[in-house]
Amino acid sequence: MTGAGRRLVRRLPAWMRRQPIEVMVCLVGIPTGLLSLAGLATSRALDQVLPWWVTKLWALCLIAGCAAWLGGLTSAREVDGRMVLWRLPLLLLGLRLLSTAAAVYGVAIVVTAGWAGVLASWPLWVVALGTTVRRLDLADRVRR
Amino acid sequence: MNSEIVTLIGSVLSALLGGGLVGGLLAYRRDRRQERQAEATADDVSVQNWNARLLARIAELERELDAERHLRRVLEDRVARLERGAS
Repeated sequence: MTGAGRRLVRRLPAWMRRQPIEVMVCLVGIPTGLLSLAGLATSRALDQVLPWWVTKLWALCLIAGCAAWLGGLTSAREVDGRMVLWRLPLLLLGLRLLSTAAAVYGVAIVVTAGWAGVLASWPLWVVALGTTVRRLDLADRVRR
Repeated sequence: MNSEIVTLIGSVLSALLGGGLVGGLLAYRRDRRQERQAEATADDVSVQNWNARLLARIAELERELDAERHLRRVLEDRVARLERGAS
């Protein structure tokens, strides 16, 4: 099983092997956004706090953010043992949209559920903070 | 929570979302423009480097050619002297 798993991982593209967590976060966000945009999945927190059209905008923001981030991640190529990003602006756009969407959802949960919602919204705060730190670090490295 | 406060927070979140979306797109446009300028500068710099290397190579070849010409003149002079001595 381990051998088969290793062989399978070796067949994956380098951008996925080197950034699996990021890719998985994108893959979580896109279906969630699509279902929310289609009205097949609803969030009580978002529905209570935001006007209906803003919940659609939030879904759009989530889809666009994850798609842009994924687009940026797929542009990573291994050059002399280092990963080089060829579509950095797209990746930065994705990180910004995703951190905004996560922060808005996190606030909406806390507003709706109070202190009980802090634990539920914790993963969203982690994503919002993580994507913001990653974006600022990448932008800073480009400017240097 | 009071419904008015929830509405107010909803408005703030809507503004944050809209601002994040617009800000993100504007930043994307700026980054793309900067990237294109950087690419153009890199191309320009590489052409300038190539030009400088070619000019240096031409100067080196001209020096070698001058040295060859000098040696040829020396040899021609020596042959001429030998021919004069033989005659």
